Amino acid sequence: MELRLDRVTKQYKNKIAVDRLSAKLHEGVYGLLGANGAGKTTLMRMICGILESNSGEILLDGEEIAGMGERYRELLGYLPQDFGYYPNFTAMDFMLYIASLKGLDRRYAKEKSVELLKKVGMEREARHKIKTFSGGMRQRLGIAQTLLNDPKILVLDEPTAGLDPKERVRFRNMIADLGKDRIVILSTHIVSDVEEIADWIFLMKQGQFLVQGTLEDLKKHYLEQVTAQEAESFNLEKLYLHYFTEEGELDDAI
Amino acid sequence: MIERITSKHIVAYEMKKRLRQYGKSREGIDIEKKEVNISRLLEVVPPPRRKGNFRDFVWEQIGFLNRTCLVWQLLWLAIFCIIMMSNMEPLIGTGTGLILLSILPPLLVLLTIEEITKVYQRSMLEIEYTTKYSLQTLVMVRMMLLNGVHVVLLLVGLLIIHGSLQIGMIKILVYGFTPMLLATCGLLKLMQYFQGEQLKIAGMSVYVGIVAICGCGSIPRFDIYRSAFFGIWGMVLAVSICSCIYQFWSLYKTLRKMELVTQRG
Repeated sequence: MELRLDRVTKQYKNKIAVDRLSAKLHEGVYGLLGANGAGKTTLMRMICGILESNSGEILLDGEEIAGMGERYRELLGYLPQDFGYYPNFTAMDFMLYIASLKGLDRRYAKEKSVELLKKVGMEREARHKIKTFSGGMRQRLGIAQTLLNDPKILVLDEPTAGLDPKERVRFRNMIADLGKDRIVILSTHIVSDVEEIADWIFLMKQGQFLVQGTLEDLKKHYLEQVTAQEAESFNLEKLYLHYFTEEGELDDAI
Repeated sequence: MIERITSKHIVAYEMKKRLRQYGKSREGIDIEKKEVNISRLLEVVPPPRRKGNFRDFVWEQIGFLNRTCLVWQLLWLAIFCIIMMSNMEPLIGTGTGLILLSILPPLLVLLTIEEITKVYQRSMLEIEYTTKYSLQTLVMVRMMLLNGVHVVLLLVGLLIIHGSLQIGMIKILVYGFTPMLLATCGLLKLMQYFQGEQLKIAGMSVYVGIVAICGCGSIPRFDIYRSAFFGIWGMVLAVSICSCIYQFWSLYKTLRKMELVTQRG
């Protein structure tokens, strides 16, 4: 399976949110790193078909996703950044509701919902109302609903926001496992999430990919640009700060 | 101690050797035969059905409708019948009874604004746009279901009260359905521009307008319920049916893009 972005552009009035991005994605985990306003969420929405690009194409196995409609959405699992819910629904009601929207058989949906709630550690809260949940619990529910239809393309926007360290480790293991036979696109501010599990990393700034590659590729790229002293202890966070910190900003922070 | 370690290693080595030999002695799996066997098994024992169809989806949406909303609708029916059938002699056959017949049905529509528009919650929109049955289909199905309930409840109510009003069934249907359809048209148009509390307020404004127009029936000079005016009622009914269909279509097109929906509300 190949998801191809071909010079995709999205412009809002005077601002270019996504600027002629091109990439080819196959099975694996893709990490999207960038500061607020870099265009990550806009890009993810376009990949999910929620927003239309002003120019360029997004193709799945050579076919434009805009024309695929329902056939493309059946392959998708999406967790938005601000995950919403109906307050009076229980966790199980919500899973069954989303399963219904995804066109799943009722019996299968029930079994799958139980399995997924167990997977994210929410089996005891299945009959509790979502409005009583903490932020982390809602996030786990959000992750569970993305997997209902066994999607081939999984798009997760800030999925670990609100999760405690133990939950984050569990989530990372789950994503690493899922990435073996599907395309997983993961955007986050938490550099360590991407560092641990991403097969390919995109650094995004002002609507463009600054640099992309495996962790090793990024390391080589970084080493070419820094002093020997700075190169000694490379990690992705340093690379991130190198690209996203204005001159003098880091000194102020320290 | 050395003897124990050595014998353990020997045992482990022997086990590994025998397993390797076992693997070599077996014939390799014939992949083609394996595929054929699997497909034969599946013919006998089909895999569990994963996908539902559109009918299942519609049926399931009934289950997701808010029970409170349905209770309110049934309560409306009871109140409607009680008011219309109560022994108000001065009302029977007069404009006042007909005014009540016209202004009570649009309340059915107002009772369901919240239920229809809860799917517009911005935070849910993104998820609902990425599912197989996206927001377009979801809103249309919910509206068809709720409006279907309105029509059935109103028909039942009108049939029940038919005996209390000394006018023909056709007039009852026209005076009852026309304001309800006008309220539905108004709400469909407003849904393209407002959401949440704003929509409720806008919906109430439409209702107040309808009440004001129907209330003209109490003023002899503006009595819209006199027989000479019935033809105009018929025309308004026909126009409101066409307008409803057009507004459904227009809303359907607006829902196609999340950008259009979020820009409005």
